Amino acid sequence: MSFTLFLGIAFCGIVSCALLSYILISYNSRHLFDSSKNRLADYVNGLSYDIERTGFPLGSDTTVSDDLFLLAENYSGRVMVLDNSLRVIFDSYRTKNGLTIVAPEILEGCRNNTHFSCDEEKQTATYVKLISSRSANGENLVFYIRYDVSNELIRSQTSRRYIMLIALSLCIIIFTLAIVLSVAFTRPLRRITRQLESIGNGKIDERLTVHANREVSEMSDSVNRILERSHEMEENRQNFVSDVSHELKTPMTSMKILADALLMSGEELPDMVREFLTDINSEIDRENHIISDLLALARMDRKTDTIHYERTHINETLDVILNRVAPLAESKEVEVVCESYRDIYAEVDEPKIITAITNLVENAILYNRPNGSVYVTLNANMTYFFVTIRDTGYGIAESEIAHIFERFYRVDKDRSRETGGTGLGLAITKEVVNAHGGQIKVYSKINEGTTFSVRIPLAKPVRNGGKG
Amino acid sequence: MTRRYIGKIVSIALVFILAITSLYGCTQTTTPTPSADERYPVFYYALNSDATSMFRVEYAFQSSSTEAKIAELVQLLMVNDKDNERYSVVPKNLRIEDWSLDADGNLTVSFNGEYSQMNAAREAVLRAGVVLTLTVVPDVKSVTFKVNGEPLTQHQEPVGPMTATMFANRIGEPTQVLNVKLYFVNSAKNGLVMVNRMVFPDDYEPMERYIVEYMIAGPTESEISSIKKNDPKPMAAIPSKTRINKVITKNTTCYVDLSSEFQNSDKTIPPKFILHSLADTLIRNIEYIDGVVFTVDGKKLSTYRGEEVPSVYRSADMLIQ
Repeated sequence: MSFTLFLGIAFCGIVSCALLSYILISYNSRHLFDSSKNRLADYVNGLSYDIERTGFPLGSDTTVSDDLFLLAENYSGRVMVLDNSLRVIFDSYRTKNGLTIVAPEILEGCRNNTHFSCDEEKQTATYVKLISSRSANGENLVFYIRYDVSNELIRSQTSRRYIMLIALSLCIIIFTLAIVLSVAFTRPLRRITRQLESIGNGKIDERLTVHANREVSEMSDSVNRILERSHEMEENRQNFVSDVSHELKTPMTSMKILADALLMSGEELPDMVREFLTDINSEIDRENHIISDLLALARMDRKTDTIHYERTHINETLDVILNRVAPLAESKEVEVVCESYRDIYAEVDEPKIITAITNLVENAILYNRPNGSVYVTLNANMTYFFVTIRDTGYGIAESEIAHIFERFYRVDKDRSRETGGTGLGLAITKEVVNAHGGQIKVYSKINEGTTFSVRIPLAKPVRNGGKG
Repeated sequence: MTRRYIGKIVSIALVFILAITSLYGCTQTTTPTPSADERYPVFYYALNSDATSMFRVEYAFQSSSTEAKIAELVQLLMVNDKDNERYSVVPKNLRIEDWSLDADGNLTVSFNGEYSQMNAAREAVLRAGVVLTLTVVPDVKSVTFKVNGEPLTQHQEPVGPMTATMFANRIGEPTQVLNVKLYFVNSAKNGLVMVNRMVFPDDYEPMERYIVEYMIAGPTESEISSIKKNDPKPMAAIPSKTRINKVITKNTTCYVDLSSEFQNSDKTIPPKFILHSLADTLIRNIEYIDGVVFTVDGKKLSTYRGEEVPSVYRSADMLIQ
């Protein structure tokens, strides 16, 4: 975008510069000899009066020929006068006297009354003019002068050089201006894109803060209004989910107690009833699990449950998680390998981090092949610590990667139900990571496995700017 | 891929061929297939479409006899070749009715009555074209025009035989070979020695300027070696770095304005020889000059290397050996 803009401005500027200098140069060269031409035309006019006064041929009149010699001297050139049959009657070089000259400049001068040409190589100009007879039966004469125009040519070259120099500096200015303008125009747009990306990555509370100029400011405001509106809708939805979950939780608890009581009553129940009751009990457990997850999510959404930052030894936290998933890994015959590159301490909400990472490691175990592996690595730089969880499972199709963090989204519907997931695990993980100011990324290849990469700041993020 | 390259090569080749052929079409010369034994390029003259330029067209004679060559050229003079933008110097309706060559090499060309319809300038072009074309034949020395059987007249005077030297087709082009006599200072430094030189100067500068240029340049190697062994040799006396500011002739006096380097000449050469060598060469070669005035950078030269200088130089025979 900025390059196109730059090219556009630079192209327009340079083309108009070139056009302008072309017009100036051609105007300059067209009118370069005007003054000498006009002076010579006046001279020829005066000469025709002299010829009328002194008669023809003018060779007998020394004042006229003296005049012509003087003219030739003044113009550092050659003057000739030809009669109407193109015979030379005066030549300041005296070599062509009496010759008939049918040179193109003479013929053209006869035909068009006047001729002018410039020989830049020899630095001379040729001016030919027909001297019309003032008497009715008199003969026309042809006046010819070839004179030195080196001064005019030098002047023209100098002015041409000046024009080129000005055009060149204008080009440079336009070039610089093009760079500055294109950067100035596209910088706010780039910032908007960055902010929108950040909002798209989950920081839905952030708003556009770019107000570079009126248009961009208006656009930011419009986008902010849309964001505000969708934020309101999202809040309503979260409230609804939270309320419904709460309302469901109580009857579910009662149902669970009742089912448990029935099962524990000691009375002999028919086999079918016992079996059905057991099923009901486990379904109630599952439902409870879902409702708990939903409530957890809802709490995080509504910010009622703020993050309690505490300095935590992340390596220990990871050990806790791995110990917790060890029985599951064993039952699924999946090997879990952990690699920590250094001791890492970070300010995080430990229980929430445990939940988030446990979800990822559990998923890696559950959606693995038998005898598969899960590799967990822990590393850090100056500002972030990184946890990557790589499995050797079935992988996720590219089209589905975008949806895996959505609530209740299941990649493989059948297998998910088998594994007993709620479909909320990854949504919770993402919420936790986002709440810590971190980022989560997924790379996956079908039949090769999936890698989740989590990046979380080592220190509690300082929020500044942005609304909310 | 290969096919695309072949296509590119073919199209480049086509453009190249097109360019070559179109450029070939621009050339003004034609070379008819020679059939006769004697072939050497000559020229005939033709006009452009609006008769403002007369130019030469190369041609090779088909026949060898003088009469047949003249007939070929008379034929060519009447041809209008519109495709090549070559038009006859003979106007429409005017015809060359007859021609005859006498023993002195004067060719008489007879025109019909249309001749009087031309204006003076057009007639000049016709005369130049016909005379310059027909005098190409080695045996034709001059051309005389007849109109309706009567010799051509102008201002009630007969025009008479016309030769090629009476016409010029271009101003500035060298017209004829000239023999100039250059008087250089001799190597004994006690006089001047004359050198004959054939020159073919163009006409862009007056002859006097060319002569001053020759004098500054000095004698050529062959001119020096052509002098007999014991005779004094010619030498360059004017410093070679001397520039010519101006050479003009007023009435019969030539004014030579040189740059100041002129004064740094060889101290062993007496000043009068240097100044006379230049002045005499100008006076003896150019008939309208009988005196020379020297100036240096526009200032009159009153003394040259301490020696008094006359205001106008005249020819000095006693210096020449």
